[in-house]
Amino acid sequence: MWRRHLSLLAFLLIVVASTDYSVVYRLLFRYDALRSTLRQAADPSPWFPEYIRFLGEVRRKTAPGDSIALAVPALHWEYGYSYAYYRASYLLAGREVLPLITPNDRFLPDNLSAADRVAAWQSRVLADRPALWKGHGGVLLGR
Amino acid sequence: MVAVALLTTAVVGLPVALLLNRQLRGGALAGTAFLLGTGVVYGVLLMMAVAGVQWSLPAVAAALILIAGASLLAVSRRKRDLTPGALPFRFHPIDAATVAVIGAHFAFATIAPVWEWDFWAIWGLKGRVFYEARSVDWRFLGSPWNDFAHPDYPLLLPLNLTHAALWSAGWDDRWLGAFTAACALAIVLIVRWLTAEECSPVVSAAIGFVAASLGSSEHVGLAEGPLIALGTGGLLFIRRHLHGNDDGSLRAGAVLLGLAASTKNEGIALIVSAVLALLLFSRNRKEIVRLWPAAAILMPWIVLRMAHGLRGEFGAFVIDRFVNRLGAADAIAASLLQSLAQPFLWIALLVGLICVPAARRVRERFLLAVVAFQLLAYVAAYFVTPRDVMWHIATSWSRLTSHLLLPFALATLLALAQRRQGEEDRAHGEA
Repeated sequence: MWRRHLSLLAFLLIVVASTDYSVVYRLLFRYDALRSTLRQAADPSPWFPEYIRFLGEVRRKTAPGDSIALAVPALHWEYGYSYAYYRASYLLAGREVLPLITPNDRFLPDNLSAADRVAAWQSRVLADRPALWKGHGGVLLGR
Repeated sequence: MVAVALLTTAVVGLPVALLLNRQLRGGALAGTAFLLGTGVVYGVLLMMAVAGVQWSLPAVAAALILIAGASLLAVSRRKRDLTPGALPFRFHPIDAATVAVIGAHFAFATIAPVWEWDFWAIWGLKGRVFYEARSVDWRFLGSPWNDFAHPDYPLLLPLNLTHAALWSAGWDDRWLGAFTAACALAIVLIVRWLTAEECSPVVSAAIGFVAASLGSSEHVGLAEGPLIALGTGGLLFIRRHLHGNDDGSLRAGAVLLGLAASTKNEGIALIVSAVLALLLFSRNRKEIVRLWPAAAILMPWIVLRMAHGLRGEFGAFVIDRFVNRLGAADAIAASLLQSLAQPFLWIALLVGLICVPAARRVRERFLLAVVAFQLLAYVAAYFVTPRDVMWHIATSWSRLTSHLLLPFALATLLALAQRRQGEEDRAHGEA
């Protein structure tokens, strides 16, 4: 008999423990705050919102297939550059986004010279290229 | 239009589900139809890419209609039969709570444009790149600059996201989280209807509630949700075959496992775990050969991956790393315990297993063995990872263990709840 009660208790315990009540609570009582948090979850400060807007304009002003080298103020892969590069790869999908540093923080000058365009956000790029567009804290350089 | 894409997926999968298993009905049919439909979409887009045919909505829709039509034709030539002795399905008030959990998950998954790092750096990135190219962009996958996007990962999820973009006439990640929620709904329907065949309505409804909670992946837009649904669905159907000698269930299980392997590399390990479990516990070991659809579905991607030189992350020196890390086994174990998500649930499941009479544990040994083998595989991966092992555990262990919570919970709950005529507990004197 005790085994049966224990089985029932274990069954109920599993049912109760299976739900993430914090998510349910936030959906019911903190919906706006949750929405606001998740809207910005992909893009931490200080990147949001200007970096995203910059990439949006770069997309509008480039063509599918264009190769675009990316320059941002973060000069270390693990401390910001990887985020900027992955985000640009997503938002500029259809273009070829080229990094200017490696995961070992080595500079890649060949990518800078080979790229059709250079998207420089809040950073200066020493390259003899015409500025095609400026805005949202950055500049798009041509060939 | 994402909703239209999801509906199309389910409709296309319906005749395929009936072709595999004519016994399916109700929610089990609907859930299986959607999951199989994701496989049909994946297959169509991949084959069109291999054949050099550009994706367009009319071309893709025509191919899907062709496959659905051929399946329907084949289905009409087969006789339908019902499982003898199956309990009729009955709704229970607990189902209202299940519906609420599913609704909450849909609301959560679509609350904002998909925000997960791995979505826009891996799964969604590929889906978007392929959509822009109107084909699989092998050059993108092969570029060393895109190694971060794991080019060796299978493409079921990215291609289903691309499918949604085709229907939406543009890439918009605002509603793509609905795909994760749809996968959760599918596995809940399968669990609820299959457990209703062997449990009382209250027990089946409670198990359905648990399936909703554990099948609703918080990792919106990632492959965890589809893998949980496809993997658990596959294992449940194989379990149904082992208990009732139902060939249709074995076919459906094998195909779903193949699709799980087409979703994440962990799905490949799941096939191996299922084969090992069958080797141990199947009455007829030759039945393992009948899992061939799982391998057949996986093979095209394996071949394409090799042909295009798409590298995995583990690389060479695997044995060296394993041997070197053995010395840190206690630190790794401690980190695994520390990073375990939902520890109380794991404890509750283990307590539940201990409470169950041995005979009932034996009945669920296939599911339990698969969970154990898969867990071992995940732990072993940390001993050979080329990355910093503590970082790797911290960033992936909770996600990986989420794959196993649902099948583990189902095995334990079914063992706790089973009532059969002439059951062993009467022999033990329990009134």
